[in-house]
Amino acid sequence: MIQLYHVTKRYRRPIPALNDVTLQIDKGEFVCVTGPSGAGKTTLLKLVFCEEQVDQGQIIVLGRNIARVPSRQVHTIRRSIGMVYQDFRLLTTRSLFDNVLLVPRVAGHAPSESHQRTLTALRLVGLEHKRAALPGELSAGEQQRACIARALVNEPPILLADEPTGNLDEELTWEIGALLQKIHLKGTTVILATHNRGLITRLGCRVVTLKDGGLVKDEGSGR
Amino acid sequence: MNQLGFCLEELARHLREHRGVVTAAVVTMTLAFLLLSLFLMLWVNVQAMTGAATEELALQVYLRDEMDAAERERLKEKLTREPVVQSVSFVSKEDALARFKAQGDEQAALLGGLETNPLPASFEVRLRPDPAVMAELPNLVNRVQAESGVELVRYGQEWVGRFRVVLSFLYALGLGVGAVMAVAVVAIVSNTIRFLIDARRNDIAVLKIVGASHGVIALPYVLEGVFLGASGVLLAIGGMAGLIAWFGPMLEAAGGFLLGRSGLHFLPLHLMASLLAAGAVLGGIGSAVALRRHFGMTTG
Repeated sequence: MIQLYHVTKRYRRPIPALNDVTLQIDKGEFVCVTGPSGAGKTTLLKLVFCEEQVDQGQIIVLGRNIARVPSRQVHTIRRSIGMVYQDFRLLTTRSLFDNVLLVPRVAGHAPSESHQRTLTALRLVGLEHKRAALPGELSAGEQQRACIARALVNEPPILLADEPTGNLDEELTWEIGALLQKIHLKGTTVILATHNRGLITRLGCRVVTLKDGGLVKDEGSGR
Repeated sequence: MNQLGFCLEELARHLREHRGVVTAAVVTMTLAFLLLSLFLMLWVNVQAMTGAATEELALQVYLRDEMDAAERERLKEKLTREPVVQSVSFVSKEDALARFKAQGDEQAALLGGLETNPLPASFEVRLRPDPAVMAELPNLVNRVQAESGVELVRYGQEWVGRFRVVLSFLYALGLGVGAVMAVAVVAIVSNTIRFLIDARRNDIAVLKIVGASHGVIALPYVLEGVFLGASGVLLAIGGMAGLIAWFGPMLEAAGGFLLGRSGLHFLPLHLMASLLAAGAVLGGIGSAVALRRHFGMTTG
């Protein structure tokens, strides 16, 4: 489903953010990408999500070499991937419902179908009753669940989560972890970037460890 | 279709959320288009005045005495075929003399003592009431003058010459004003849209995250530019109508002798429609310039 071949990404620093990483993630896997700060976890997710361009190597997502996808076509890749960020990135002037509704609407779904999908996604994350609230009126955990609802509303085959529990306390971290597991059990391929060892242990999934941009360990492949 | 619906919803949201900026842009563009409309109205009225003047204008084509009837008929036919000519009537030597005598002045009395009629026969050529006649007139005169059997062609050379200079000046001024206004409108819309894009940077980033295409992101802004341009034109035309209702009677009273029988002309419908289309297109171009800059700076 996702293949990285000898991928290198450099910013304006002497050490590459990712250095010659080769990795394969199969359909339906739950993969935790971990490592210390600056290890390259976020860069790896950004490359898969076409937020950054690879300097060397190839990345194949759902059979498409994303290095060859022109900038005007990037949205076609992104519609197959749900993305969850640590800082939520919700639109503060729109209600929770409108934030989630945005996704099916930009994908061209009819208004009635978009409403139905949005309600289903909010129900999945347990926020149906807060649909009229603005993001600022929600707790951090609720905002992160809203972000997950937005990522899932169009039922993408892949979900990327970049430190989604970074701003949450322990209880909320478990809550989000459990939600991601629930989504994985529905058949979605989940890639979670986190340095929370406790969460990784509890999830019991495949763990890819990065350090200084290099892949140093890949444990539990095929889980 | 669904995406178009989404873009229209986004447009309404943009206009609602940034009322102040949108209002300022519309007011600025209204002033720009008002200036352009005023100039166009001046142009329309000068055109109407030119048309009215040509209605009064006639060529006198004096013929040599030796010209025979067949030649005269051929020349008459040739003159009638000229596109700017409305009618051609023949004035014989006898008719000319009769007219002269009918004036009843001293010179007419002197003519009575002559044995032969010294006045030439002529064609009186009436021209179409069309502003284009002014430009074509010198060419027509040259052509007629070159005909064999034509002694002299007379018309109001002096004032036609002056009129042509004024028309050329107004035409050049019109092109200049039009070009400056077009650039101003594109710049105003472009800066407004650039400001709105900056104000909505987060929204655009989120739209990209959720898989919006460049088209879906850009279309509401292009529509906004079209809306700004078209609103500017509509308000300017409304403002013009108000100004004319207010000052029109005063202008007609002050310059009625210049405006002629038909009075002050407002912009014709086709010109208003063209102005509206130009406003919308220029607004769209202004948005496109701003969007091009935005998408040129960001990836994805």
